[in-house]
Amino acid sequence: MEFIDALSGGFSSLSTLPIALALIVGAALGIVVGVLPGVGPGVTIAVLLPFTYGMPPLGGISLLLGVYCGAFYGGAVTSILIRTPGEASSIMTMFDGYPLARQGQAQRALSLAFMSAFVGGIASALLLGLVARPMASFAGKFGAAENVMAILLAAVCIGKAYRRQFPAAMMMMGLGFFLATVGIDPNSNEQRYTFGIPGMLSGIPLVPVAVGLFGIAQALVMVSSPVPQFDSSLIQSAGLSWRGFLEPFRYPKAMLKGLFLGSAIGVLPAVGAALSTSLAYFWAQKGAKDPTPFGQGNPEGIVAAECANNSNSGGAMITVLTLGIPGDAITAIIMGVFVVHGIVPGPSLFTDRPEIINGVLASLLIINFVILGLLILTVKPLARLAYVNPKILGLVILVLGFVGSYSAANSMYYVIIAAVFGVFGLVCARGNIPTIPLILGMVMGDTLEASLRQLLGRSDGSLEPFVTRPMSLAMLIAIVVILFWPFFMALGKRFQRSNTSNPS
Amino acid sequence: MSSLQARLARWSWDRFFLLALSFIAVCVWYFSTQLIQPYPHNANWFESAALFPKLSLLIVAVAGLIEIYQRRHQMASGESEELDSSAANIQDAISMVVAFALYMLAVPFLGYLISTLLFLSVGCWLLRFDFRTSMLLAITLSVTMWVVFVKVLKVYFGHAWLI
Repeated sequence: MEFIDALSGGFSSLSTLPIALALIVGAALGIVVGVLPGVGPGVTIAVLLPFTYGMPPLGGISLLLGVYCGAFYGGAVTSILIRTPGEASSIMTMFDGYPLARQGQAQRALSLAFMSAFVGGIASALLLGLVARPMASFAGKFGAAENVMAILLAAVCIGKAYRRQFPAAMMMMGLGFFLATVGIDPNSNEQRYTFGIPGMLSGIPLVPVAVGLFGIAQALVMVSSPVPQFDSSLIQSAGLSWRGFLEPFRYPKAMLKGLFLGSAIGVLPAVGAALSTSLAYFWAQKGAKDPTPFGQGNPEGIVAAECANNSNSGGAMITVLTLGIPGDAITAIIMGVFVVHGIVPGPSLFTDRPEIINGVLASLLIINFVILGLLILTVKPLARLAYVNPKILGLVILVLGFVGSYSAANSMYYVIIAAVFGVFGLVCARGNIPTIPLILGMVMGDTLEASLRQLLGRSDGSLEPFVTRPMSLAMLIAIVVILFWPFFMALGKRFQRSNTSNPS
Repeated sequence: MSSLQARLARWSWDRFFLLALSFIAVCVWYFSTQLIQPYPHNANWFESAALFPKLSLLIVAVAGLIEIYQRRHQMASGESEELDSSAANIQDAISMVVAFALYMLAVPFLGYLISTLLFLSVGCWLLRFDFRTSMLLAITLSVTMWVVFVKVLKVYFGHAWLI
């Protein structure tokens, strides 16, 4: 009942023209950027972020959520038709989508993908509605110790998601934490690392850093890389089939596997849609109903991958709304909209601004309907966007990056920051150093520092509260286990080996 | 060539970059007493404004050194997880960065429309587009951007010599 009330409240929050328009524009933009070569939702959201400042908070959030969800759908178009995934998370769709398209069944493959993504999107929005409130009331019991541990746990999970690049990811996370401290210290009014530059007194703002790292760096790569060649013969065959739309429901097992993995992994920080789609794809292979081999056009491969792909969005928003911890770069930037409007994501948001929570839930539901409607109307011309030269898009992103960072504060200082971080992002990309942890560190840094100082101030510098409070201790143990898991595994293997070589 | 020089010659530039970042982090950590004004000399360590930034810098330095060690022993992954720039022509990227820097400098003097038009024209030339495409693209895009941002969204770029 509470859920229904929340949903109807959310629908009424969205029923103003600017918010509804933002939602539709965001969804349309998301689909387009999903299809456009080289442009991802991260770039678009970073460039759009400054323009959301003048909007009502829910309008800005709906616009960015539209881009976020729309790109998941759009990415499938190029995966199926030209064997080039629009997003990393669409790779698994390509394995069976492209062979189906080559067999003259492009319309069936696209319909399968869109309907599966739609089911995933709706299920994840419902999950958000059902899980977020109880989780927020649980998180409401968190004190400073739990906040510190939750952020540290998220940081370690993010680092571990980069597998062998763990130290590089942690280095960038540390850099993000440090950048968040630049400016006037809110507790003691001391000027920290401002180098006497007046603009830096207010700190290093998130917007130009995001525009630089995701927008300008990506644009520089696009303008300096050769134009990718692809087989465009199947683009003409883009379309949809009504039978294909109903087909995913013939494979409920594959659908459930995708939904389960997508939602569960979506909640974990930084693990992301790419892993959930590949796990769902391989899981769907076991006990598949359709006899077609996977990789040669099995519809269940598309269903599992697309369900998992689009069910990530709701899961990723759960940690943002309930804990104030973003799971990836996109949700970190979306969190920026909250912060700019003076809204602090976390458990208190559910009591202070319930209309925002309900609005996000309703947006996620409506966005999926809007996207499906737009795809039905425009899939044919949409597929042609794959022809657009990425170098031209790179130039456009540079110009938009300039005006986007400038307009955030009508200041050239912001453009300079964006340009510096753009070049830094390019150098990091060349050196294979991840930059997403930097943004996440910047977003979480303020809360981490405030909670840490609050805790240490109360305990006179003692670290005891971290181990005396059960939730904090549990998270601390989780951090230690995650950090030292490879050592435990190695120890286990050595023990096993010594047992097999010496059975007595 | 000494053994140190020979060893350094084998270092890839990304390890130098990581080393530079770690070194800068150590320097900033060390000079924090000058970079935090006024420095809280009398504050307890746990109340100090320097605690968190110093901890962050420590993470940067230590993690950077571990990453260098991993790369030295080829334990780090060779593939980019985020932005694949392996095919990028670095000269083209540098030219575009220079053009962008000039664009930033030009806007306060020449105005948004003219600067954008010039930047796009130079950008198209750097990307080796033919003259007709370049002009069509530069004029259409710059006028569209000007109308949308300056006229409709009222982004104010200050007084300039031109528009």
